[in-house]
Amino acid sequence: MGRNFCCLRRHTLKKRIIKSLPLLFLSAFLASFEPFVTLKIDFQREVSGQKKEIIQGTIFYFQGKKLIKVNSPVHQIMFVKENSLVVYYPEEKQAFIFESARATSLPFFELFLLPSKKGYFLKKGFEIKDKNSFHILYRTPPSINSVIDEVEIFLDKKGRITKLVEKKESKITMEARFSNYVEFMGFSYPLKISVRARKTEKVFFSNPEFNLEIPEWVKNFKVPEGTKVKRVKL
Amino acid sequence: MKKYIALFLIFSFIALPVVAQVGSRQYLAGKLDGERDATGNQIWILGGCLLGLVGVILAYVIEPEVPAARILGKPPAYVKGYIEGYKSATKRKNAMYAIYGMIVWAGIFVVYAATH
Repeated sequence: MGRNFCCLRRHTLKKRIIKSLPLLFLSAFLASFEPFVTLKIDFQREVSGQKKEIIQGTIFYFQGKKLIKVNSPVHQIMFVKENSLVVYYPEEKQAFIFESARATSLPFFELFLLPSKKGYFLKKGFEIKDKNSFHILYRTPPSINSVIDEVEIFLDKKGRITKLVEKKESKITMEARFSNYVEFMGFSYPLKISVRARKTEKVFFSNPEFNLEIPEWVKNFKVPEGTKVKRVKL
Repeated sequence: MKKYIALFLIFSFIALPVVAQVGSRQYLAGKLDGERDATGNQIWILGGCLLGLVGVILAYVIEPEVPAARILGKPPAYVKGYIEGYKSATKRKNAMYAIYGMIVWAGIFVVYAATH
């Protein structure tokens, strides 16, 4: 029974991989060589300050777009597409649409995706100042010199990023620690990220689902008619 | 029927100010957080130095980018307050940096004029 179930699972997995192969190759060209086409993952973000905030929800990532469905403490949908960000409140029937010249980023999720972006820092114009098997020190490009001037990355024996430190004039401005990895196609993704900057935050990811079908309502998300929309130009 | 209408009116009189108060408290919290998070960009020192008064005006006109992660899981009133607080404080700080740049430029100009 156990063996049959195991075979069935292996067969389904094989079928799923074969099914997603053409899309996978396409995505390799489209989405800067990421090993997956789609990703659905639950998250819990804890931000400590005067009052600890806990935000829970699900992230859908597909074709470079991100939809974040927040379930608690409020019902909110954040849709990040190219240079626009839509924040929609289904209960209040209210939305904010941000239009920016630059791509909108969600740092805690970008940190999760970091392992799949091989050569990310070099592509962004960072220069290697010092390197060994467990540590890489980068000098930042002039465009962000006023904010950070050095980035340090610490790796474990398996080459997984365990710590990322951003510095300005030798002072640490941000420190992120990564742990509880999940493996996918030879890449290790951290399910726990702790960030210490002006505020301390912990992000716990769970139930990652790579290359599964994304629901239609997510793929075709649009602010419903009759919603009070406030446009914010950036 | 009259009893229900009276009850409804009493409830509305009590509940409405409470709802409005919660909304305005969230707006204020957002505005304060936005102002606190606004750091400005020191690049505007260079802007003020090179462009003078134009640099200061540009620092006030150019819209800064609101950090998306800060509005994640926040209610609409908070987001509204955060956008306003963050944008106005960032513009103010950028303009201050541009003014510093302008002062540096003026200082260099004065020294240059006095020595030549």
